[in-house]
Amino acid sequence: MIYFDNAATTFPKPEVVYEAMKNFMSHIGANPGRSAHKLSLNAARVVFETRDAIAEIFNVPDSKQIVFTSNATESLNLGIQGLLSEGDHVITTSMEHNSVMRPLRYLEGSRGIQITVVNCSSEGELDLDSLRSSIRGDTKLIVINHASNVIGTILPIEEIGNISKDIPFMVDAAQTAGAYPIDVERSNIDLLAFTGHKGLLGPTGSGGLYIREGLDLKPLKFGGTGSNSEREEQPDLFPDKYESGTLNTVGIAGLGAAVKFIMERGVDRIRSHEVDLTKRMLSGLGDIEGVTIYGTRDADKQTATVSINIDGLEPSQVGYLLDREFDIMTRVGLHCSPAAHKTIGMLPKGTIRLGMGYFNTADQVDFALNAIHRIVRKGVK
Amino acid sequence: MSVKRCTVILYSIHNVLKAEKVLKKANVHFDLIPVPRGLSSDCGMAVEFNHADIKMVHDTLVGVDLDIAGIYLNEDRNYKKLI
Repeated sequence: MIYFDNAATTFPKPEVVYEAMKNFMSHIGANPGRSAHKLSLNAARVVFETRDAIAEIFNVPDSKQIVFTSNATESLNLGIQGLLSEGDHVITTSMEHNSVMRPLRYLEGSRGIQITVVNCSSEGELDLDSLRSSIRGDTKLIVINHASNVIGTILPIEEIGNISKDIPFMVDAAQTAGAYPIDVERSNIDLLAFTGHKGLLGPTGSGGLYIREGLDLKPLKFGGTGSNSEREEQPDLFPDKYESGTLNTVGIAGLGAAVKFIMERGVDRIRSHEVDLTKRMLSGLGDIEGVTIYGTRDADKQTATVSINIDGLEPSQVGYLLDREFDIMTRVGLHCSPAAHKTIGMLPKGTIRLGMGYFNTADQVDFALNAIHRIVRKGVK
Repeated sequence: MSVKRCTVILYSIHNVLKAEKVLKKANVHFDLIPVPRGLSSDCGMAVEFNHADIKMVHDTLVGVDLDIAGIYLNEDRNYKKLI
């Protein structure tokens, strides 16, 4: 079996993730921050240590500025809906996932926000001058994805962060966190939305948002936090203000173990392995006539996500053959990103997405290349 | 004569655990306790330590930018605010 759907969620996870989750469920289990007994304290320590580890991996100065959410979508909604008010102007790109586009379109209807979508090239690259010239006096937010979930193209967040020093800058790191170095200080990031279950190698249902100190967001939800319990108003403390309700503690336990696993190996080493796989894949695909590759075709400019099409075949047919005949799992279709598909010229057909990850090998890439070659030669059965 | 004890009140469980981390590193002896009745509490836990270590505790917590709600001297369960 070859799992090439890591852009949707990474699989497998490191063994330490399973162990940490089992240990939490079997031996800790309690609700963090709600009681003073040993198990509640131990649960709170797990949450604290995970928060600290995440702060370290993104170079966040103070870990209390990391807020746990259930996924990058919730983090993006918290940032976008928490920051933008009636009539505000926001800039984004034509490569965004619906997790950015849908909250923006919702606020366009409900709060009358004005959206400038900066067009990217068909390879997914952003022209920084176009971005610069889109900035207005009333621009309240620039929100962009760090890398496309469709074709993997990486956007230059450091350069964008330098353009937008006075305007809050939000990065959707769903496709890069854990697999590509991110430094919120160096890139002037004010809001970093990440999920735990992709490059960070943790479980689904875990994720978070870094909120720069001093940035005031309205919470998405209100309720019990274990702090200021005598008051009926939401506390104004980080991270409690944004973490109403019991956290996904077992998921956070797994995420903490995953982040430590990554830090022991180093994000740079993980990135280097994924670049090698991507180079091999791009080079092999380039030799197969009848295969169209989308994106920059440069492994250094993209994540380990490679999108293709095969002449004369629908993506769904190719995905089906790869799965049933060769035991290779990919994702086919539109990948929740109609804007990106339009930008690369593949709406509504979509693509076949080969989402490689840290646990894939060069042999698996070679096997997949051979499978694609055979599908091209034989066509559909 | 029994050793005089102090209690530091912090604003959140995150800050209590951050205090735990830095005080351990500074080799201070302390306990995490439920916030004593009568003390205004922003979270359910507090840090208790020997009065002799008050400067060390204060400086360690301030040194990592932890906001302190108050440090109290425990006089037979009457709490006198020191800081």
